[in-house]
Amino acid sequence: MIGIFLLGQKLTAFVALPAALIGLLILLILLLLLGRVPDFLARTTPLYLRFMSVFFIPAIVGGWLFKDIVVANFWPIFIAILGTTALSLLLTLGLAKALLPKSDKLEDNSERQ
Amino acid sequence: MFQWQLLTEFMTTTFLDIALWTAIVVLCYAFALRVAVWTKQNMLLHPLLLSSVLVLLIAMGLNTSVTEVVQHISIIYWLLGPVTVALALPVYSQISVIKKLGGRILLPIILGGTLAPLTAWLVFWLSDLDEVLQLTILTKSITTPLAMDTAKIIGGIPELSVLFLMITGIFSAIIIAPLLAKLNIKDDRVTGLSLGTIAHAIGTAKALQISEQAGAFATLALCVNGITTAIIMSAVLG
Repeated sequence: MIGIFLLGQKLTAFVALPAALIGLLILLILLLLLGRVPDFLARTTPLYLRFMSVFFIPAIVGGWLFKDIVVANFWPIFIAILGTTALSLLLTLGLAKALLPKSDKLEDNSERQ
Repeated sequence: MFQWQLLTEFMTTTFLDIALWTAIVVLCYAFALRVAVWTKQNMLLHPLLLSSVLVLLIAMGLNTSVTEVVQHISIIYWLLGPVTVALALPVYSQISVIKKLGGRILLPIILGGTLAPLTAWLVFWLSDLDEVLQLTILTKSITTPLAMDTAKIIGGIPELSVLFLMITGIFSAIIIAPLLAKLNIKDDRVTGLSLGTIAHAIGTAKALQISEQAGAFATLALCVNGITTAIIMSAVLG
């Protein structure tokens, strides 16, 4: 995983995409080519995906350094985030409801995933 | 000789600091996870929020500046990259669903996932906020690790990006129940899809509480939206 990420980091020199995203795409393509998930990945990945959020803590702690900006612009930030989140959530719900087929066959299929 | 001593001294203190602060972060996180179980996943006490506040409080208690703490825990920060790569697995395991439902599933994800940041950006733009902030808000519905990198690439502030993300996610998790009741939606696939699209990992966690199926669709939406939005943003603004 680290190897693929490092490869992604190298590739960022050529493509303006996040290194992790490039790594993700590379791994996805490898998995598709392989046609199955190798054992060592299947065993370890769920564990750290479950506790993934621990890796966000540094960034949030670092966010404290920008508190002045946030306080100074509190209202626009507040309205922008809450208002538009509610709006887009509403739209996505409506759209997904309208588009997803109601067939039970598909539901069974997705449950087995 | 003297210089060598200075160097080793520097190395050991830094190493101790790194070990200490990394341990503090992990312990705070473990504690916050416990609290989440005790309080039955109360959204306002989200583990991520609680543990970050704890770390900040400890930093203040120990009289360490936040800048230093961030430096000491940079290894955790760095590991986020490799861990993000692992998101390929959930996408892979959902790929047959994507193939089967095709555009029906991709359209709401992409439209919803584009509308959320664009409308938020519009409010920022209308309020005449700093351009860096305007760029940062664009990442608000992307999953955190990709959002941080994207923020960096398009010229926003990764740390603020995470803060915006947290608020978006927690707020979505709070309002989803009344929204579902109002729209009379009982299809867990619809719920999961929307939560994953708009509220990334926090929404996915919420979806998993609703049902496994909602969780699977949320994971799918989170990954698809994260990938497509990150690519679009980086391509247009990078």
